[in-house]
Order: sequence, then structure tokens, then C-alpha cells
Amino acid sequence: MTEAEYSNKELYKISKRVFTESIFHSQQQAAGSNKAKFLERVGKKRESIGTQSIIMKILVAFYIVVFTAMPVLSFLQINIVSGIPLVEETWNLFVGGFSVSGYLLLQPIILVLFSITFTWGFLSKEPYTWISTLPYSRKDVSKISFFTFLRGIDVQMIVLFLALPIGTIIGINLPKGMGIGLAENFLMIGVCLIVNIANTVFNLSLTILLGRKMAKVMEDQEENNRMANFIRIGSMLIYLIFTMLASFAIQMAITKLPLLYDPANQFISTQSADIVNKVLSFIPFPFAGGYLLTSIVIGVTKVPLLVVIGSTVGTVLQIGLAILVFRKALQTLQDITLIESKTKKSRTRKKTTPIEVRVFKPTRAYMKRDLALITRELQMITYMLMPIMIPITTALAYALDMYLGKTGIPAMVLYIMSFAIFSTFFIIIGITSIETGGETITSSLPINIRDQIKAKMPFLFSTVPLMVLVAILLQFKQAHFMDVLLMTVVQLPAIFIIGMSGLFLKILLFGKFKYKYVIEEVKTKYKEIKIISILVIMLALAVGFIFTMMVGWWLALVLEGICLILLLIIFNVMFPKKSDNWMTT
Amino acid sequence: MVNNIVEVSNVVKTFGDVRAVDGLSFVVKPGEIFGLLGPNGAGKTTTVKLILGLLELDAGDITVFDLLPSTDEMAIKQRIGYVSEEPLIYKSMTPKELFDFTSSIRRLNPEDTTAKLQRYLESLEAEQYYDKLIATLSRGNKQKMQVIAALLHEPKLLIMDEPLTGLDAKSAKVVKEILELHAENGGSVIFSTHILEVAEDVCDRICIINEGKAVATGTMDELSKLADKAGADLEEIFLKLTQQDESVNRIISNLRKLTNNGGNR
Repeated sequence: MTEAEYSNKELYKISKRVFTESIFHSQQQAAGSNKAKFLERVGKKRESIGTQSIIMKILVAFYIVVFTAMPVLSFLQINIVSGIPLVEETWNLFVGGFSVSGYLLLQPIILVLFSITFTWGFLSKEPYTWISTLPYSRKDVSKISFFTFLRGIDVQMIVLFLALPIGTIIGINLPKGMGIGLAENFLMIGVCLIVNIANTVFNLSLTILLGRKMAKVMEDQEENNRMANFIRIGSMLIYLIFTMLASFAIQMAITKLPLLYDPANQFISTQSADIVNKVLSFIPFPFAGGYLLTSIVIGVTKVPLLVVIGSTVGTVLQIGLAILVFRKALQTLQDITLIESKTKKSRTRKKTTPIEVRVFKPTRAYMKRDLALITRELQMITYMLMPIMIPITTALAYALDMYLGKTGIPAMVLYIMSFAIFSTFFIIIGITSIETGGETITSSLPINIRDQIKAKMPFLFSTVPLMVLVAILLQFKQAHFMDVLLMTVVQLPAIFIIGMSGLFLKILLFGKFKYKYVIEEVKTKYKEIKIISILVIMLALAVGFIFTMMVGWWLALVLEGICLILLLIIFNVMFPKKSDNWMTT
Repeated sequence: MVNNIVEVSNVVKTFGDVRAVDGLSFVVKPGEIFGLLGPNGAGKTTTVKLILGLLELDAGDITVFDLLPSTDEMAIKQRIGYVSEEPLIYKSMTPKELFDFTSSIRRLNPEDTTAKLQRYLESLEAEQYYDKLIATLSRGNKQKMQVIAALLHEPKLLIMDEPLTGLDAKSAKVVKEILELHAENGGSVIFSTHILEVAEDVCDRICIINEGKAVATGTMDELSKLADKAGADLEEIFLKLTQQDESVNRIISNLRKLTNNGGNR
């Protein structure tokens, strides 16, 4: 058999298998400690393997289509306001250039935000190792990897290619009742396509490069030295911070966009807008394309020559940049199929690790184990950090005065505190799901459950209060800040109570899982009484807190103190401090 | 006319500053089960990957069916069945899909292949897993599916890297029998393992590899002569030829001392 025997069509067909395996691989990786549960689910319902990728594709397509409103609105705006003497072309150029560039910038952000977690599956070496042993040439395997990637981003790519040109047609034709000339339309669509193709190629190549980086982090899980751990945790944190900033950017785009289109609200002077236009039009990504397109919509004779030259040069540079990044991405896709580089890496790092057994107190040992598992899995780290990051982002947006409707700081505090309760439960799910995986081979160890539970408390009691305090401290410029801070500090013990109650209820109600044992109380007698007691404490706290706060904050603290003591008693009943709470599961 | 199925001559493969294979030479003849025996990290898997053309040589020559893996990889892969130590097959498939997939790629006759598949599944008692997701199968059952997938196209050369890992005694015996039948019918097998008993039991000739070098190659009789240990089992021969016998004695003596001194229990 010769190399030419497999046509591209055949290889594209085969890439469907590789794609399914890739998705499966990334889902299995992401399932982390819930791998057993995941396998049981896909074992019963195989179609669920593809569901996540379909949802992600639709989500990306939806966001891109929604944000196409940015250029559409700005082109509509330009067409509607042109001719109004009060609105100058400089301002129109600023609004159009800025919003089209913003849209171009949002594209890679949306792609990376929603695609990367499943993109790394088909950007890891795993799915190509077996296929390389079958009668395919290296060139074929390399093509398969390219087709696999195409399958992963097909919907997104089509939407990326079409959204802007269609948006431009709507934006420029709608106000004039399709009265615009055909030649004018062709020119605009032509420029739009050039800008859009360069941008789409750049975005997709960037997704490949970032996805591969992420895949490498997941591939290097076996590496366990300090540096590898640092890189792994760092990468996961960067990704989470990116998601936080991306949601922040999207939030900002939604809230600030109407201001941009309001001709009465020219928040920078025309003179400044002119300078900004001239400077930004030279920057290849994302501004040059945005300014070039807007210049054509307005009419090249009506905008400064420097902007036309700048945006043309910038767009040419953007095309060059896209080609450069695309080549790098293609090389990356080829490298994935090479077995060599993986072997090379693992072989050259032949270092001797000093052998030393360190014995810690059991609680600390459990904490170290939990920490190791949390930092090794994106799902676990997400469980722990996302409930903290989202409210902080909102608080930051509020502090920077990014909300249109001013709801006042009490509403903000209420939001943060209600989010604290949600975060607490989210973190409880995270810290208890550590135990459900096959990785935690603790079932053969003599587990002291009291120590195991104690080890989880610091995660619960440090993360949420920290989030609340940071979110509140960000409001330091707001009026009555000190009062709000005091009120928050008084409410913190209530978060501890809710956290402890939630953890105990989870153990009492869901301690034994269908899939694996995991945390169960030592003394299982009078379970109902314990559940009712915890619910009564929570109810008393909820009702009593409002009442006591009306009398004075000190009384609220007394109430919280009583509730905490009662919960500690329940803790001691559930997990007695005696030698008989050692058990083997 | 092919004389030797595989010829490995002075092959060198380095990874960074590690010489994984260092001047290795051997030949695999038609109809023989050839053992690659060595401790973990000796260079067995690297050698196998070099033969398959998955890695590129730094020096030396390899021919498989008189073809070069670097230029004729497709023709070679068509005639080879490969079983890896860790099952590489797609876990998102069911065995049914796996066999359909590999048979389609290798363009096999469906009737003949179905008959063969039924025979193999039955022999390895794996019929009940036919439509289960591979990911949900045990290690041993995954390995069985991998072995069957490697056999369906009746390859002239079977390359098996620790194929018995995870298999129960009965299945291991069946796989060994399949290999012997394969060799009796003129096929060749490269059997890479670190388990001495298996190599002694299955292989016609054995190449002992240590630190990427061939320490000795030959039949059991030839190896015992080389080791100057007539009638000895492969373990003794292996330790003697790899010059590990003295260090093993030293380790055992240290362990005994440690145990006699008492642990911390």
C-alpha cells in the first residue's frame, strides 16, 4: 500500500473516531476524581460523550452571534446619525472603530473561554498514539490531527467567518432600505472578508496554541517535581484568572455598550477621540481591521488620511501575524502526532529525588493529600476557586462603577453574602468529592474520620470568608464603608455555621455513595435527630439573626456563638474523640 | 525471498543525554518467537518503537521484511500486529467498533474476519464484553481486545510488548498458545518482556538487553553455555550475564540485616 491510498475524504471520515476519542479523553481528564461516575454514565449512555462538545459549540456560536450586535449597532448608528450636524465624523469613527475592534477582541476571548477545556483533548498526544501504530503514514496521521481539530471547531469557524460580513450587510443597508449601491456593498464585504479571515485564522491558531499548552499541562501530570507542580498549578490559575477577566470583559461590553452609542454621551472630547483613532488604527490586532472597516462604512474621504493609511498598514500586518501564528499552529498539530517528543521529555529528566519519609499528624496528612488532589485537577481547582472569583469580579465591577443601574451598597453586600452561602455549598461539594475518586486509595487505610473532617475545615473556613472580605474591602471608596465592614464581620461567623451545617448534612444525608464509600459519621445512631438539630440551628440562626441585628450587633454575635457551640457538640457526637473512631472501610 | 524478518544492526537511540539503545543488534527469523528480555528501562520498548518506525534512529540500520521503517512504514505496518504494554486502543469505542474500525482500515474480508473474531473472543472468554465501552473494561479485558485486534489481519510479524500484563492465568495460557500456533504457521513474534519465566516458557531465542545493549542472544542452551551455568534456569543465566548476581546477593544480605534489626512495628 502506498501513502497516496488514503484520500483526504477517507482521512476526514476517520478523524470522527479520533475526535470522539479526544472528547472522551478530555472529559475523562476533567472528571478528575469523579472518573468512576463518569465511566458509569458514558457506559450506559454513550451519546453523552458528544453532548458536551455540541453544547460548547452552540454556546460559542451564540456568544459570537450576540456580540455581532456591536458592529451592527455601530454601523446602524453611523448611518443614522450621519448628516446630523452635531455628530462629527471623528466621533463616528471612534464609536465604529472601537466597537468593531472590541468585537474582534471578544472573538478569541469567547473561543478560549468556552473551547479550551474540550480542545485540549484533541490537542494531546494520547488519541494519536494508537492510530500511529496502524497502517497510516506520518503524513496521514498529521492530516488526521488537522481534520480532528476542524471537527472540533467547525461550527465556531463557520459562525466566525459569516457573522461579521452578514452583520456588516445588515448594519449598512438597513437604515437606507437597501438603497446602497452594489459596488459599495461589494467593497465593504470584500474588506470585511479580508479582515474577518485574517482574524478568524489568527483566533483559531491562538486556540490551537493555547489548547496545546493546556494539554501539555495535563500530559505532564505524571511529573511530580516542584517545578512541574508549579507549572501545573500556575497554568490552571492563569486559566481561571483568564475566565474571570473574560467574564469581566463580557460584562463590561454588555453594560458599557449603550453608552458608546449614545451621541449625547461623548465621554471623551472630539480632539482626544481623533488622537485615539489615529494611534489605534496602526495597531494590527484588533484595532486596524476595525478601523479599516469603519473607515469604509463612513467613506474613506470623510476620515483622516492617517487613519486610512494606518488601518491599511495595520491590517496587512495583521494578515502577516495571522500567517505566522497559523504556521506555528500547524507545526503544533504536526508535533502532536510525534511520539518522539513525549518520550524524549520523560527520558531526559532523569533526576534523583532524595528519599525521605515525612510523618505528619493525621489531620495535616489529610490536608496535604486534599491540597495535592485539588491542585492537580482543573475540576477540583475550579470547584474551589470559581465560587470565590465570580463574586469578587462582580464586586470589582461594582467598585469600578460599572453597573448602569445603581443599586446601592446594601444590595451589593446582600449579593455577596448570598453568594457566600452558594460558594460554601459549592466548596463542600468540592472537598467531599475528593473522596469519591479511585485515586484516593484510602479504603485500605485505618481512617480516623474525625481527622479527615478536621482537615477539610480550613479549606471551608478560609476561602469563603476571604472572598467576602476581599469583595467588601474593594468597596472602600463607597459611603458608609466602615458600617458595612462591621456588618460583614459580624456576619462571618454565620458563614462558618452555614458551612459546618452544610458539611454535616452532606455527610449525614449523602455520606455513602452509590459509587464509592466515602465520608460517613462514626456514630450512625439517631441520624434523624442530628439532621433535625442542624436544621433547627440553621433556622434559629436565620430568624434570630435578623431580630438580634435590630437590637445590636453584639447580640447577633452571642447568637452565632451559641449556634457554633451546638454545632461543635453535634460534631463531637458524630465524630467522637475516642480511639473507637478508627475504622477500616 | 526474505531471509530474516527483522534485522537490527548497531542501532543507537538517545533521548537527551540518555542512550536508551546503544549499539543493539539482532535478527528475527521466520517462524520463531524471539524474546527481548531485560529489566525495566533496559530499552525494550524503545527498540520495539524503532522497529515499528514510530521513532527515528540516531545510528545503525533496521530492516523489517527487507524494508526500511523510515521510508516504508505503511507497507511494514500492514504486515505487523502490535500489542503495547499499556492498551493504546480507543477507550471511547466498544470492542465491536474497534474490530470494525481496524478491519476497515486494514481492508479485511468481513466473513473471514468475523469467523476469526468469534474464535478469538471465545478462546479468551471475552464475548460478553463485545458491546461494552472499552474504558469500562478491566485492564486484562482491555488487553485481550488489543491482542485480538492485533491478530485479525494474520500479520506476518507480531510485536508484543509485555502482552500478558493484566491477563488471568487461563487467558495468558491461551495467548501463549496463540503465539506458538502463529509461529508454527510460519509467522514470527517479537516478544518483549521482563518476566523471565514467560520468556523461558514462550521464546525460541532470547536477546538479553541491559542499559540499551545486547548482553547475549541465543536459545536457552546457548545462553546457559555463555553464562557457564549448565542446567540453570533463565533467572540465574540472566543475572550472571547482566553481571547482576553479585549485586543481588548484596541487596538480599542488606535486606536480611534490616529485617533482623527489627522494623518500627
